[in-house]
Amino acid sequence: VRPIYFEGRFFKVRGPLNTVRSPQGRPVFVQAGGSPRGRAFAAKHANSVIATANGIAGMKEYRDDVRRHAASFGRDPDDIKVLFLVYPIIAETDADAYTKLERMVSSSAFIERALASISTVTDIDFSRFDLDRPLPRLTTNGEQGSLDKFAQWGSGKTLRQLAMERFGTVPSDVEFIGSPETVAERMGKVAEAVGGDGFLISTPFQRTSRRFIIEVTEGLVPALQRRGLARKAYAGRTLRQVLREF
Amino acid sequence: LSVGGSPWDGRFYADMAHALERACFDYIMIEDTLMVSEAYGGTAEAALKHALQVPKHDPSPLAAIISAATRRLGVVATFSTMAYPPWMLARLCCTLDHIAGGRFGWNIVTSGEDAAAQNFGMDQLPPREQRYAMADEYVDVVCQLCSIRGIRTQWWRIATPAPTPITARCGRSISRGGSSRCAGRLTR
Repeated sequence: VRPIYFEGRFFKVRGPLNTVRSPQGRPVFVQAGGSPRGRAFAAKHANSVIATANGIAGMKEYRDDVRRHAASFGRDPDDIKVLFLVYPIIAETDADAYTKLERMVSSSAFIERALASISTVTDIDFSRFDLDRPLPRLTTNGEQGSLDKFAQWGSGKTLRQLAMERFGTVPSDVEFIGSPETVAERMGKVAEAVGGDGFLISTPFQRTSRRFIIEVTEGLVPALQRRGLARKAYAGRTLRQVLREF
Repeated sequence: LSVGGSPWDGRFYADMAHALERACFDYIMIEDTLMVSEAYGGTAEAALKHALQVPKHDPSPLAAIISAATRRLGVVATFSTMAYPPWMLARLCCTLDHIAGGRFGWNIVTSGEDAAAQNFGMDQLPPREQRYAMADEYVDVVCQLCSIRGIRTQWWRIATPAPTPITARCGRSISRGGSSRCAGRLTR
């Protein structure tokens, strides 16, 4: 236990900590870097990256880029698990799942909710754009990766269409909508095409409920496990070990 | 939307973590932001009406509750480099990693909204390049603080458990997961 006498451009810290050394040495680092600068940061430090990208091609490009950067920093690229943020819609049958999606996007509040939600992470006021025209090219000092995914630059879609597709375009090559079996099958195919490593599962507008959790843990996950795509038991004790398990 | 009972006592997170642990997820991620957004329409109306990024709890106690309620699931909490002095964050992470028995992860964010910067003495968010330059240095400080070993104090060494080596492996998998930027919003 001794001081570090750190003095940098931004921080001056004497150290040491007055607590006990962390069981993992240091905690696992997770990061979500969508901009080029963010990707480089993630490649340098992170053990797991949370990523947004459009389609299999975009996902593959992102993962390859992070892994390339990591290697250039002298890291083993397998030390970074890239998880793509997804919003699966799971129901008993495929038809039920599409009905669920339809019910969500056709609600009168959906467009405003979708636009306001992208506004909150980009500091861009989407209420000032015409819903029935394409968006002008925009950049943000906030979540650039989320903005790029939302805006689908070059698609020519109107803002209304983009809002409707806020949580996934249909049809698309990364459409996770359907029965547990359908979604598991699709996840396996996408992960294989991208090269890995997995997904971070979330819900539109972050409205996680016990019901949604059960759909995932007792519907989707067993279907993934049957395909050998998800673990059935933990081996490692620490998070760092668990991340490296496969 | 309702989680039933008392929605703010943290039990929902423990329940969710139990379910994720039964399903052998890698980790649960507690997302965070540090403001009530006025970005849409220049007022907080839409954010409040649609419960976007608000209301939510502080991730640290939630991470502690989840860690204490689980044994194998990774627990990742979001802390902004803008909000915590690095010494405080390093100590917080070490403490949470102990409570979690080596299962804690820090989701590093620099914050991305002017409204958040305004809660920390700034008028405006620094440009991305500068935020990341700060974050690079910040992570360096945290690593240095965490890497100090109990060289002269055998007492500390005794108190520090050694990581257990992996002795078994699961079958190959290409899917993993965490759940959810979820957390804050669940409860309304």
